[in-house]
Amino acid sequence: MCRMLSYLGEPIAADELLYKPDNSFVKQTYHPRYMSHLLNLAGFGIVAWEAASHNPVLPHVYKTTNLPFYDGNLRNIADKINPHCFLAHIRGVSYDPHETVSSQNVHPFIFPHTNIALAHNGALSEFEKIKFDLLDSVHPNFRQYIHGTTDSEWIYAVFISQLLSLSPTEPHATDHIMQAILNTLSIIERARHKHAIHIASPVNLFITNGEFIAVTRFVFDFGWLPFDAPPSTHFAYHSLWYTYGENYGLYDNQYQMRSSGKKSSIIIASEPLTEDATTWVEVPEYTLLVVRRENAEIEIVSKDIVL
Amino acid sequence: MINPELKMALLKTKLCKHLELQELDMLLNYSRIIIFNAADMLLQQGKRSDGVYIVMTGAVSVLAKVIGVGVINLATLSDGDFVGESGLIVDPVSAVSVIAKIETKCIFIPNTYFAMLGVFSPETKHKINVSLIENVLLHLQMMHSKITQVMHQSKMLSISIFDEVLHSLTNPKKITLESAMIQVDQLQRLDFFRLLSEEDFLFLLQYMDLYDAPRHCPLIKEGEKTADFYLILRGAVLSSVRSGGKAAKLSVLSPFSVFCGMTFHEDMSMLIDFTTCEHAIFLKIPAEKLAQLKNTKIDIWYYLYDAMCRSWANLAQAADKLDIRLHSELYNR
Repeated sequence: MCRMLSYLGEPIAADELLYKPDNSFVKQTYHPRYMSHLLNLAGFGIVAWEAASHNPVLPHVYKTTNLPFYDGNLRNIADKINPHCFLAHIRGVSYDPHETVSSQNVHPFIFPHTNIALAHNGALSEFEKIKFDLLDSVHPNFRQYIHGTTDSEWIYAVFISQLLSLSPTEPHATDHIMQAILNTLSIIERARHKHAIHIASPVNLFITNGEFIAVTRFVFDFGWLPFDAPPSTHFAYHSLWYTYGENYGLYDNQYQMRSSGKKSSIIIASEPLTEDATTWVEVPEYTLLVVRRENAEIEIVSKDIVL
Repeated sequence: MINPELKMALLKTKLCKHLELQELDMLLNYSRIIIFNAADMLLQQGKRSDGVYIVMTGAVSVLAKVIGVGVINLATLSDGDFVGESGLIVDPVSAVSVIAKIETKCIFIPNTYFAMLGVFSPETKHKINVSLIENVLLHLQMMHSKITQVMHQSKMLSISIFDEVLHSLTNPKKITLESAMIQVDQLQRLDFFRLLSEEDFLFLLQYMDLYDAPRHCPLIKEGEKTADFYLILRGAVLSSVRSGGKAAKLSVLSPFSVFCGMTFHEDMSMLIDFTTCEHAIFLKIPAEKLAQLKNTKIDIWYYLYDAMCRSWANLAQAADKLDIRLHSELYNR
């Protein structure tokens, strides 16, 4: 199981979310609570949009297979950048020599000529069987950019092929994003059906272009796994949480969103960034969420996923 | 020496009203009296709750820091009320803070006492469960009414009549363990059955029927009066609140979860809908068999009731979360 963290709102020093809270994103990579079945150490990636940067519609991109808690470059960057939107991902893989740990497999994925990035928390069971069926749903221009071995990069390729426009300067309507995500899930479902794959496969997606964040909490064939299967996070619903408020920081001696009635910033993450999760909302299963910032206010649009 | 006045006062509290005097003696042996000054904190939001506080005299405020809203006063509790029960049945982390308004005398009952009761005195535990579930269902009723009011006023999409009709035509089919390729010993190893003796497990299994249901198959409908009991083995079931042709998702029940009609507890109509959201296989105890079980093997019935308490408490907690989401999100517009 991977870890994901996204943010949209008032510009914030990235280290406020990556390092400082008591369950910060980087701390999650070595917290024993998350280590029961796998280590989350197969790569760290972040895409971050900063209004004051050169060509602000494009993000800073940093990806590495280094361990995030030993990564001095990441620490320096996190201290320095002040993005209004970012998406970070830590790749978690099983203890298995067949896993490929490489920079090509580090999320978030972002193809040339677009500013839309995607990160994935989950795994498609028997992906090798359906992989080449998905090729029909990938625009020919994008096929050349699939360099890695993950199911996630293929999901990304299918997703951006469903969008009406990929120009970094073109806005994307919430309805269009939702439809593209639902189309992507339907395409995968059809491929799974064709190959009679009925094993639970979680697909928590995080998609952003610096203006919106879209997330899913979804599992294909939820609840269907071998009866005596050993405990594994690979079949279960992966968690997804959000919290919002005026801005995030240390208030009343704990990291939290300031509650002033304003809703100008939102964090969406696979796990709350603090041990106290009572001011976080858990996104329910089978849900698609799109958030964007309009007139300095966060708008959250949610929809049940019914394929 | 236990103070008889304290015992009589305890008998009048909401948590202990079903207990006998000797059961109160045992409870008091494991409890302690704590006096809080005004502004002292009994429970802190986000911290573990290690037991239940029964307010004997005084008053406490129940506060919650709610996302997007700030700190709100949820209730004021006084003589006979109790707090901290969610740590017993669902989540050890308190969702609220509880602060003494004035000097308040409480009886603190640690969670370990309730855990021990399940082994040594299931009947006493059941009586306490009855009190807990009364509280949970009252809360659920209140939240249901709040949620349906919000749904009624919102611009949520209505369920299509075509879908309603189509789904109402689907029915679960009775199947055998063999056809579902499930072995009896596999069932016995499930967490749900693990605390039962082999004899009790096999006895209970006789009361259970196995069903296979397609996706979107209604199992319990809102307004229905039923006490049927379900244990999901494969697939998933969606619980939802309905209002004016609209549906709002409450929770998704995964394999090895249980749910049940509300007449399990008392003669109430269902507030919540249960429909499969995946192809599902489940064990079901029909209401009439459940009634027989209550008469023949009361300990197994207590066992099922305990599971139901947790299930309803989870649903009540899900209702709290749905209420927050309906105020935060533009849902299913």
